[in-house]
Amino acid sequence: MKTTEDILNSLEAMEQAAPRPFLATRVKAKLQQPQGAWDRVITIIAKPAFAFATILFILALNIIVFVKSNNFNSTTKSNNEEEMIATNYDTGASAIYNIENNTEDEK
Amino acid sequence: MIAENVIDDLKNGKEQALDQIIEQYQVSIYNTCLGMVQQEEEAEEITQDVFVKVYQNIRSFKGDSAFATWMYRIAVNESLMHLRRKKTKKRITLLGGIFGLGREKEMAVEFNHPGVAMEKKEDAKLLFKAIEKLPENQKVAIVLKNMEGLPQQEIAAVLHVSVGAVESLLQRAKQNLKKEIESQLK
Repeated sequence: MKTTEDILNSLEAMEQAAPRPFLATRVKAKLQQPQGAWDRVITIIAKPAFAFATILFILALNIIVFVKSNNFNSTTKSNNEEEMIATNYDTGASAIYNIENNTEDEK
Repeated sequence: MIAENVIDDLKNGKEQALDQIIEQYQVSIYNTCLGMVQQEEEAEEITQDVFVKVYQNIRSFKGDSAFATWMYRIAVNESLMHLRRKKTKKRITLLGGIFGLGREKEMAVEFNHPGVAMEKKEDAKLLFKAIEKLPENQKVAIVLKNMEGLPQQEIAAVLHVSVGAVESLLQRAKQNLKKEIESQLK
């Protein structure tokens, strides 16, 4: 019957594992390999500073879009109000012209 | 302990010095990486990367800590980076699977450490499975302590924390391992 303690102590007197022979040769071969473009890109992307900068950039972009859309809404609102006044009080020049035209026709 | 002139030679770009360093530290570095990633080919790949990093960054080694500590730190960082990349890749594959892009499934393979005695192999498999689930810092502390036999002071230097913090990390790691093993035995 296995006990938790047996399992916890199973690494006692463990021997160290050894890597395959000629590790130094493989390391030197790796040192002479030119770093690929993708490797460089991945190295940059993997940096926390890059992730943080990206988050900041997206946040800034969101804020800009939000502020701009608010400005656009208020401009549209004031245009709508002007149109409403023009319609209600019949301030359109063409309308006055039409009224005059109508009165002349009646005569 | 490596002689100071070997470090100076490495700083001057002498490849013989690199040979000496690899000869002296390959087993320790490989075992640390193996304990962290629990996969022989990956551990060897990371060990190579560690020595490449040592060669490329030796000028930044100022001697504030022991050379071995500095190398262990690189090995731990490289192993953690590798595990994070693997996790991200797994997530992307999983996400791809949801959208029907990737169909291949990764099989969970139990780690069989080559240095464990035959009669303890099954127990060690369960222990490694539990170690795999530990939080990063606890995993590093337990690997450096149980597999490398480093003293708490050196583990503290590798992790840039106090000896007290290492003590509590090891205690929490043991509690978590116990819980995990008990749940596996049920």
